[in-house]
This record gives sequence, C-alpha cells and structure tokens, in this order.
Amino acid sequence: MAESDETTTVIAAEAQIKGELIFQGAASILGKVDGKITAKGNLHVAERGTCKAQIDADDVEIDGTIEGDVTATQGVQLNATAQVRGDIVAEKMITAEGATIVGHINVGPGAGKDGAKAAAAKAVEVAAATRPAMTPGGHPAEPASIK
Amino acid sequence: MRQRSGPCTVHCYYCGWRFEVSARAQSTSCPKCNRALMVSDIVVQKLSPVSSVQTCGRVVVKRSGRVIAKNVTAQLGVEVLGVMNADVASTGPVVIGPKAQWKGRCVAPTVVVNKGAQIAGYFEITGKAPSSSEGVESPTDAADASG
Repeated sequence: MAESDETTTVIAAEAQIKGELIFQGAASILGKVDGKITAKGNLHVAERGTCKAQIDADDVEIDGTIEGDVTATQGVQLNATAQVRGDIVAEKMITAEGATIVGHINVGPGAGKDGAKAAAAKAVEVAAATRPAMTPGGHPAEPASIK
Repeated sequence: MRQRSGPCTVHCYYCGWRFEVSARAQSTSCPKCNRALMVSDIVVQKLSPVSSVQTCGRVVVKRSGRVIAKNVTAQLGVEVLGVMNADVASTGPVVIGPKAQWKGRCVAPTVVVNKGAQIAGYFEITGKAPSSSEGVESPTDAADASG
C-alpha cells in the first residue's frame, strides 16, 4: 500500500507551548499554544485545544478555543464547539450552529489572499524594525544615536 | 412562512417585555411601553432600502432580496440568501446562505455560515440570547391588538 506524503504534526493534549510554531504541512493541536502559529497546510484545533495565538494557515478547522486572529488563504471551518475571540480572514467559511465568535469577519473571494499578504507585510515590517541595519560591507551598522 | 398554533410569546424589541399574542396576530402594541410592534415574519424578495427592519418574528431575505438598512432587529432569527447590508441584532439563529452577501454587524446567539457566503463585519456570537429580565404578561387580551 502506498504511503501518503501528507504528515500531520500533533501537539498532544498534555503539551503546553509558548512561542512561534511553523508547520510545513498539516497540524493538529490538542494541547495549549501561546504565541503564533503558521501552517502551510491544514490546521486543526481539536475540541480541547486552546490557542492564544495569531494563526496563519491554508485551511483551518476549529473545534476548540482560539484567542487571536485567524487568517486562512483557503477556508475556515468552525464546528459546533468552536470558540473564537479574534478577527477571521478567509476565502471561504463554514460555521456550524453553536460556534461562538466575537470579532471581525472578512470572508469572500480574495479576502484570504489579501489577509495573508497583509499579515506577511506586517511580519516583514516587524522583522525590519527589529533587525539592525547593514553596512555595505555586510556588517551590522551601529545604532544611529547612542548617547 | 412560519405556521403558529395557539398563543405565542413575543418580546418587545423596544423594552424587552414578554407577553402573549394570538397565533394569527400580524402586529400588536407592547402593553408596557405602548409602542407598535410587528409580529409577523418579514420576507424580502427585492431591493428594500429602509432605515430599519424590526419584527418579533423572523426576517428572511430571499435570493433576489436586498436589505439596505441601518439596523435589523428580529426576535426569532434571520435568514439571508441574498444581500444584507445592515447592523443585525437577533435573539434567534442567524443563517447566512451559500450565495449571500453580508456587510454589517451581527449580534446573535448562534450563526450558521454556509460555504460561499461573503461576509464583512463585526460578529458577536456568544451562544446566549440577550437576557430578558422583564416579566411575562400572560393575559392575551392585553396584547393582541389586531389578531
């Protein structure tokens, strides 16, 4: 039997992670994450999963709790047990009866891509602001004004 | 259209007072604040540019319907298959159809979003209907103005 190339990273129910998580494929969160999550595949937040995080992914399926903004280039699916407190930007969205949402929703053609672009631009801005300027020789420049 | 049988309880959308009306009532007046209330469902099948839409029943926007209003208040729920451009407050479920376009705030206990809907706005879906601490006035003759 041929094995699927798709591998899913699982954050187990007992795990608590603080920081930035970057998944190259699909991921499933059953534990607690505090920080930022970026996934290049499907991201599933299980019923007992809790994320206090900004989430960027292709597809996001939510059964658990999220406190933070969710940006999906393709779609967001909120199942009946989902609780989201934050803004949602996606190309498509499905919400089941019983899900709770408090935040701005921007769903429609182009919304997910624009949201992802905006998030990427913001990340670049933040990185540029925190990175020291480089001299022509490739060495980090001294800060402009140190007194 | 909803078929009622027997007296049914409605909430005044001005003061929150609960009272009973007969099944055939189309409109009534609140026995507490004396303001006129629409009891029947509102079905929108074409462009409806109004300042506000209020009913103790449901608001249904058909595929060809467009509601462009400042605010929409419905006690039993809102179903949108066409265009909704308003701030919506509902104590019943809100259903957004697959080809619906929604722009504006939404405050409701529960929402169902079908795949393909286009949404832009702030959503406050808390799972709880707005509290109605006011009492119930049971005599139907006090309220049934036109039934």
